[in-house]
Amino acid sequence: MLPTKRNAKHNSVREVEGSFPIHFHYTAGISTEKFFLGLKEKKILGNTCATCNFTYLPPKIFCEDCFAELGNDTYKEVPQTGILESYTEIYYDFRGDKLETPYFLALIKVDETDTMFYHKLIDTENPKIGMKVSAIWNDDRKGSIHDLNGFKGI
Amino acid sequence: MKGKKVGMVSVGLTKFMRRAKETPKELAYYSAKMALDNAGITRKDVDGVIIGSAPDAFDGVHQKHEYLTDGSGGFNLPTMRGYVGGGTGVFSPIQGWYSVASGMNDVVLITTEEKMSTIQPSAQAGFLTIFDNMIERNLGPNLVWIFALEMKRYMEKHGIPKEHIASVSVKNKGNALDHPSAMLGQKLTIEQVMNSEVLADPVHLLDISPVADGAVSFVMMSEDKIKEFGIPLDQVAWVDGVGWNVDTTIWTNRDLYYPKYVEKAAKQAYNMAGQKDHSPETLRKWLSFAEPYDPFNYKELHHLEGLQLFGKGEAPRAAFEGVTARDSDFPVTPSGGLLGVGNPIAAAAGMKAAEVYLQLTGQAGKRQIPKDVTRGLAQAWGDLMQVGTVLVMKGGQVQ
Repeated sequence: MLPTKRNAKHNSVREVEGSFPIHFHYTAGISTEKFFLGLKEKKILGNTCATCNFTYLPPKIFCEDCFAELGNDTYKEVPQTGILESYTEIYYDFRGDKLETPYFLALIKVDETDTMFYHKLIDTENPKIGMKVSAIWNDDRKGSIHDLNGFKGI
Repeated sequence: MKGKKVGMVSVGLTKFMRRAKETPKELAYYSAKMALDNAGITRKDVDGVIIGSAPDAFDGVHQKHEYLTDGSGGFNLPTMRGYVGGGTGVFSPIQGWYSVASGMNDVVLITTEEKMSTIQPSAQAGFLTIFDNMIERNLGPNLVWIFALEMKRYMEKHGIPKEHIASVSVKNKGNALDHPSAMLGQKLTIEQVMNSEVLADPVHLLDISPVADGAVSFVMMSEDKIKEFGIPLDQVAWVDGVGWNVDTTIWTNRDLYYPKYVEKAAKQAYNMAGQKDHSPETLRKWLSFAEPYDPFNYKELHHLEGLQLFGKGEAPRAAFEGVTARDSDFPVTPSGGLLGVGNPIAAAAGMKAAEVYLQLTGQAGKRQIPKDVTRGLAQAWGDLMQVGTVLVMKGGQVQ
């Protein structure tokens, strides 16, 4: 382990460098794998619990309320438009470093769904809660959440 | 028995294996849904949810209880997670018991889950996160190495031949051939176990349980609710006694040949059940069978002694002589155990508690113990080798 600058300077044992040296090959899961494959094809897939008349985005393999299993026939493509429900402008990253260019994060109620979708708000000069937004796609899609660049006010 | 009378009325188990398709949450859903369906109730009937899962490192999501809540049926319900490492799978139904016995809840859904296959480079990297971060972690310990120290101490203290310990792998992996959730049921010989690859002397490959992914759930409810739902008593296992105990958290400061914390947890459970005579002969008649924690073959024996079911140093010979076989007078680990069914940590001990339920209610299929069974015990071991958790249940018609 490399000593921290502070340890080197004070020749101190007050701090011990360490880490959790673990990595993961996370399983996408039955519903998220379908969702990612959809994004790759420029499709946003949700799924609907018919009993509760409730559409999940991203999709889930079960309804958290009535606990029914949501099988293959429950998936559907949802519109690529929605309503901006909330947003924030970010000035600092998680390390505490000031961002050169602040950016917007948003909660979007995608049309024909009942959940809130978390993504970036981009290319929107005067964001307003309640405004209509539309999905902006990445040209280089690999089947991940970054296949969407974000949503833009329209 | 203190508090309200509490019964386990159903279980649900996924298959234990490398689950490449499902997330931890999805595995939890499968077992939780199965347990509800087997009880003939829905999530609307549940008024409390308990989640048991071991180190967050394994699923790779901190606050794993929050992550697992919806899959475990906890949406909009009072939900809690108990966590005592490997001891969790037996501790979770204990939590189920006290949440109902106390009158807090009437119907609880309990899910134990672990997904160990996604962590890289191996599950042992996850275990590294649980050690002291000043001294031990910097010397790079892993569980196989420290259990090798314990196994050697146990063997040395009593002069135990390795063949006697190896016989536990043969028995348990053989029993697992009859368990539908098992990943590693095998017909083996003692020689095959003895000759398997050495990992950390005296621990060989076939002395250890396999890493797995899986989930196990239970439904527990009060006697009043069992009557209200009309659940027949032959599908019920009553909680008879529970106990848990923690020894010093400095694992190096215990004499590793004997698990005192298991003794204390077991005696707490026996006393709660009104069983004051703790001699091995009496206890082996009072209990029809036991499911002690067996992540390593020697641990089953070590724990049988801690549970007072055999005298100190006497369990290995008994196992070798067949005293603990499924068709013997005192079957031990009829399920196939962690050695044979697999070891998705919290779910593995959950599987042991589930086996007690399935045996007592005659639902163990090909694994059903041939003699009459009235009372069984599940025990798990955890944290950093110093927690013992014990659950004793009796059949629905046993007074």
